[in-house]
Amino acid sequence: MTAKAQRAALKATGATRAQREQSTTAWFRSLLESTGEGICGLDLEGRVTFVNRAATDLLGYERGQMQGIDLHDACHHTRADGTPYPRAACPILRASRTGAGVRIDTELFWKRDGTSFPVEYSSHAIVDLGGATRGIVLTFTDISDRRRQGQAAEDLNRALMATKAELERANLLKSDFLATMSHELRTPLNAIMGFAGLMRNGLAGEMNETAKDYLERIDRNAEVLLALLSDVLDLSRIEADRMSLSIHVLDVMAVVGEVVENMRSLADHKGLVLELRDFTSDPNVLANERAVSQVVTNLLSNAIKFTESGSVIVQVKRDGSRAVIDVVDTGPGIAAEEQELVFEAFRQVGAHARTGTGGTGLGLAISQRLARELGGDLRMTSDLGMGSHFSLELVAASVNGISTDKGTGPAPSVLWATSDLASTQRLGEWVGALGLGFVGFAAPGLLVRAALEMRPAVIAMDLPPNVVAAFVAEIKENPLLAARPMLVVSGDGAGVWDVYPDVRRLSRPFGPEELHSCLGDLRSVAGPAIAEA
Amino acid sequence: MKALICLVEDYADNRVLVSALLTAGGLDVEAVGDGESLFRLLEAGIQPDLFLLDLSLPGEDGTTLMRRLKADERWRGRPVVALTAHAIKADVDWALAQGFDGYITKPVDVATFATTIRRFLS
Repeated sequence: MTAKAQRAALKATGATRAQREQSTTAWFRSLLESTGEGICGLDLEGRVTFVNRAATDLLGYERGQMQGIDLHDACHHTRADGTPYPRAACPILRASRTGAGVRIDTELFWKRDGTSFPVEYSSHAIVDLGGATRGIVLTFTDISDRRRQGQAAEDLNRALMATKAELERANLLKSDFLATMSHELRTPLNAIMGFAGLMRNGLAGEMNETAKDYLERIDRNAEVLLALLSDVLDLSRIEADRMSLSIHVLDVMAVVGEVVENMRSLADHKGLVLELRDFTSDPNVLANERAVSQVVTNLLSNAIKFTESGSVIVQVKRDGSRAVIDVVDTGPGIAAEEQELVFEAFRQVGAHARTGTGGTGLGLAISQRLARELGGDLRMTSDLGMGSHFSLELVAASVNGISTDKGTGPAPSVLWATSDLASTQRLGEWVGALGLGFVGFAAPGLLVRAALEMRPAVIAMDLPPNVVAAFVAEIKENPLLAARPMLVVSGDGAGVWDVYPDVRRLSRPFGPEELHSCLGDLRSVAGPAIAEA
Repeated sequence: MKALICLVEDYADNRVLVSALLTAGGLDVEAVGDGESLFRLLEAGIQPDLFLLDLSLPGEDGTTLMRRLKADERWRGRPVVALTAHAIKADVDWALAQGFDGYITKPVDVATFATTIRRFLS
């Protein structure tokens, strides 16, 4: 009930004016006493005119002791750093004189016993009926708890950051160690393989059959060791992120086809059917040819190695914004409980490990890391006794007007990152109508690397508002890309244009005219860049 | 007359191995373990037709030695080939960019080693 309503209620009961006023005062008093915040009235000179219980409790006074005292001298005389707080600088005194509102949470209040607490206070002017300032009401609270929590959160955050940095350093050290070790081990291995080879080639005289057999075994084991070292080196390089794979537009059918042909003699040798099936409507992907070739080679050589009879089928298809390369064999398969282990380093599971079929056990671990580096993935499904099915997923690209012959074609004029690849077919045609090349893809994580590699005349983004700002910033902060004209499709602001006013905004919905005019504007801003494309 | 190959390799067994391969391939070899010994040999008046340098050596490394050889007009025309266990393509590109005439990775291929060296001589 408000004070006014309280008065009205009393009036209705026929109470006298004096009774009514008394009641109102009591009502205000109970309001004042019920709050945990310290509340005190200060006159124009900063002397206390009234206080509530919370205020006296917080400041360590008995009731009635604070009446008339100078609040600054009593409770606000010294700053947090121990230096005196001059009256002339005191915001409370200034507020008392002028009635100005203040809110401060960075200072201390001193208690009667000489201790202090961090305080948050704010003031509100007391104005008389004539409109003149008569002082202020100051409300204040002890914010020790808040400070402690803030400090604890800050400490925790700092500890987490330190741990993260430590882990990154340790991982880098590990990768460095692996790289160095792999290199150091090659030197003695060179001597072992070299001398064995010398003897096998008869340079140390004729040898009997047993000696030749032993030498061959030395040689074969040295080869295994060498393969292991190369794989460890590969793995450590991927993990150290030094092998930043360059990203091109590739015809994935051509790359896979070449690998299949390279592996054909191995399959023929074992009497296996090796078949490549093309189910893809569009073979273009954004990837690195060497990496794709390495992964597919690994998948095929595993499939052929472990399949004793039947077939190895490779099929290439599109699945939404991904290109998928399936390698399906009729080998022994992998038991469900072992399937998640196959991508771990140094694992060869099941029968393969026991029969010593060879291999380093690193191939699939490396392949999966490579696939993920390319914005894709490598997965498997298998039924024991029914063969294995590996799926390499890559980032599909929608291409118009540029050659994709192993990524050696000219740079696209427009590189378009989107979350909906289906929409880019049309966009490619619209851009193509201007005689410009177009590459669209739905994997924004590849955008910066693709842009660095392709140097498109225009970098365009059609991404959800919550991520677009981060990608714009990433490009703008890269010295090699910062000057590239950029276009962002957006239904809302996303805050991009406040920070980067030169980013061209294309509002949805748009048709070819709007897109053309947008590209035209960018052309006038950065004429040579588009002209050169 | 047989061509003379000057090998600098600090790992003794590999020195013996490479020397054996070159000798078997009909080439003459002078093998030393570091750059200091190399320049002592050269001051003594030998005339190598090709230098084969391990990249990681005690004292001056292979790249530094290559630069010194290339800077000296007495040896400027002679091929300098790098020999190393670094097996990454980036390393090969790097070595060639530094000025090496060629690059052989370890472990060496016993069957083709001498032929490969002969190719640099012609």
